[in-house]
Amino acid sequence: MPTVNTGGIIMEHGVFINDMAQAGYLKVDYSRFKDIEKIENNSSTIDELNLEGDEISSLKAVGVNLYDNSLVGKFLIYGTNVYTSRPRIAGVEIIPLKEALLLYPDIKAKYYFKAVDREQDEVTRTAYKKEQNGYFIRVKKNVVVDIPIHTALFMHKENSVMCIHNIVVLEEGAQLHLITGCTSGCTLKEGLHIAVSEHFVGKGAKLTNTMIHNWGSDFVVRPKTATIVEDDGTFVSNYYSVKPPKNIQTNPFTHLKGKNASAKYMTVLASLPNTYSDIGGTVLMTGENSGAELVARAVNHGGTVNQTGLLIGAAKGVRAHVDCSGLMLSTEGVIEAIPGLRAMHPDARMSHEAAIGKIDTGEVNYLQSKGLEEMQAIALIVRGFLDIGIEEEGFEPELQKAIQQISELSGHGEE
Amino acid sequence: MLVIKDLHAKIEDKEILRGINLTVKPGEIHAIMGPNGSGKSTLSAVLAGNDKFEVTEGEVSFNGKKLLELPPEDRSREGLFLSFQYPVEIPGVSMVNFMRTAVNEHRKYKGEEALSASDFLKKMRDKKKLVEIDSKLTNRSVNEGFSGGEKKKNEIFQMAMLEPTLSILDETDSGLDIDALRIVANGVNKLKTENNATILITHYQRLLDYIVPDYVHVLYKGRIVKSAGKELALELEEKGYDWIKKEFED
Repeated sequence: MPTVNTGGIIMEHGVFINDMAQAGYLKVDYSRFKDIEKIENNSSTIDELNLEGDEISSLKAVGVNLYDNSLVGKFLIYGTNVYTSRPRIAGVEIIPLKEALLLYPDIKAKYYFKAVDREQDEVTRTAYKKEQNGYFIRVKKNVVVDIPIHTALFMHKENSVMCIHNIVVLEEGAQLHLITGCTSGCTLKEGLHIAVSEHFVGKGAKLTNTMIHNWGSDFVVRPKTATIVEDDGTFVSNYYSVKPPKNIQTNPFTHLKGKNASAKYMTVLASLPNTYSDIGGTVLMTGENSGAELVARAVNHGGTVNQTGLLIGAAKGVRAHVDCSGLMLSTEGVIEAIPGLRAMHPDARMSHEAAIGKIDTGEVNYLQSKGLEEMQAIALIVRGFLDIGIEEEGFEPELQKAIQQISELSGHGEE
Repeated sequence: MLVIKDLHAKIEDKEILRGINLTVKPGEIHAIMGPNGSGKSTLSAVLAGNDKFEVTEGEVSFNGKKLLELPPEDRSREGLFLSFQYPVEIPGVSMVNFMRTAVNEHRKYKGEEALSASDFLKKMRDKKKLVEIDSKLTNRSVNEGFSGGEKKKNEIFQMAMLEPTLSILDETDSGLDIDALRIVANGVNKLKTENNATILITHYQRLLDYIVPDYVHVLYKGRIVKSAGKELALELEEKGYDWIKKEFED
């Protein structure tokens, strides 16, 4: 039986990536890492923070500028320390989750492990058992935050484990764009990042959650995210993996509970040799006339990519579309695209598409004949492939450069 | 400007060009006509550097350089422009990014500085006006969802932006209604100077009512079998290609 090398895993042809998951490949080997470090509850202000130049650049490369005073709010977990800034507008709270639990006893009853099931898996059980810290962000009723809040989770110790629990609450009519950057800086090689994130989008509220990952080559990453959206609420999830870890598995879940609620996931992923990226998304629609769209793009330079999207239509008038596309830029590696639909109501209107292929040589020839070098042409085409309408205006120049590099990697054919 | 000597080319094992000879001087317009399958588009693709075709014999000199030794992008930067018969759609790649990259690469090749964003946008505006192309088209992805006519207008717009010394228009008239044909032809005529030259590849005489050629060549079975003035196009229009086929049948 012929075999294919998929990021360090020898897999027989015909064996699905999902079978690998069942075979235990996704199990996290905690013994490889140091103990989970306790994140302090004593937060300091961002002003007290003294980052090195390359750390500031690493944060900017995941979209976070802690020194931008025009931002409405900032929050950083740096190793085991928490840094916050006082929100610049009334009606916005950004505090460590542990502090929030002490300040507001109702949070535990209303939000704490109410979107994510604490018994879901080993990661959620660990986060629950260890009572992990993270951010608690709340935007009060009808408060519209039109300048983003930047939050960052920065791992700076080799072989460490960061375990986070975040909660975001948007009350009725509130609006927020949250940019969260997760990074291990530019020198770290190995570590484990696990995170539980719970989002609650109230009636008519809109949460845009832009998440950017940039990890060391031997990192293992397990984000567990769930969002609940009420009537007329909107949840937009933008995810960029500008440099993948060795192994990531995430399947953010959104429950469109309210009437006319909507969700949009846009995922852009670069895969490199010896990496495994299982990036999915599941939306359950039980609210009448709710709608969901999942758009995933992967550029594969030789790793293993699993794009799984599942839309579940379980109410009158729901509409949904899932689109998973991949570009294979290497003879090594695998992309498996599984756009899934599950209709549980006769009125559900749902569709899917998936396409995997290599770069069209006709497109490259066309651009070359107008004066572009082959590598420039390929980079431009890949950039176009990745352009799925994420609003990038206002992104840090360093992040724009990092996104640009996803396509330029292909041009240079190297890591 | 362009001297083609005994050019032979094949695709896989099929020989398409079987000894082309052609000389084009600055200020001239040449029309190349011929029946389907005679090698017209192959000639333009070979000159532009499409690697699907293999040149087996002959040489091409362009502004004193050995054209066939240059990669496609350098042919373009040297001043050769190919207007595609079937312009390619490239989803997600904006016309603005494409043109800015192309124009600045041409400038870099000539040792000139890249255009500033404002100078580039001004150039876009001026050229759009010159070739009567709708702004909506240049704000979209390259050729994506364009009609046949819009794609051809977009080629002429690119030609205006890149200011080539030799333009090869490969069946630019195909699929155009009479208004679009007029706009495209006007664009070509406006871009014409005594220092640049044009090769029109076409099936029909009607394009030549708008762009008047100095020479008309008939390509048949991979060779130029007849060359004359504009009157040859009228004769072909009237008599078709059968008489050529009979005269030059192997």
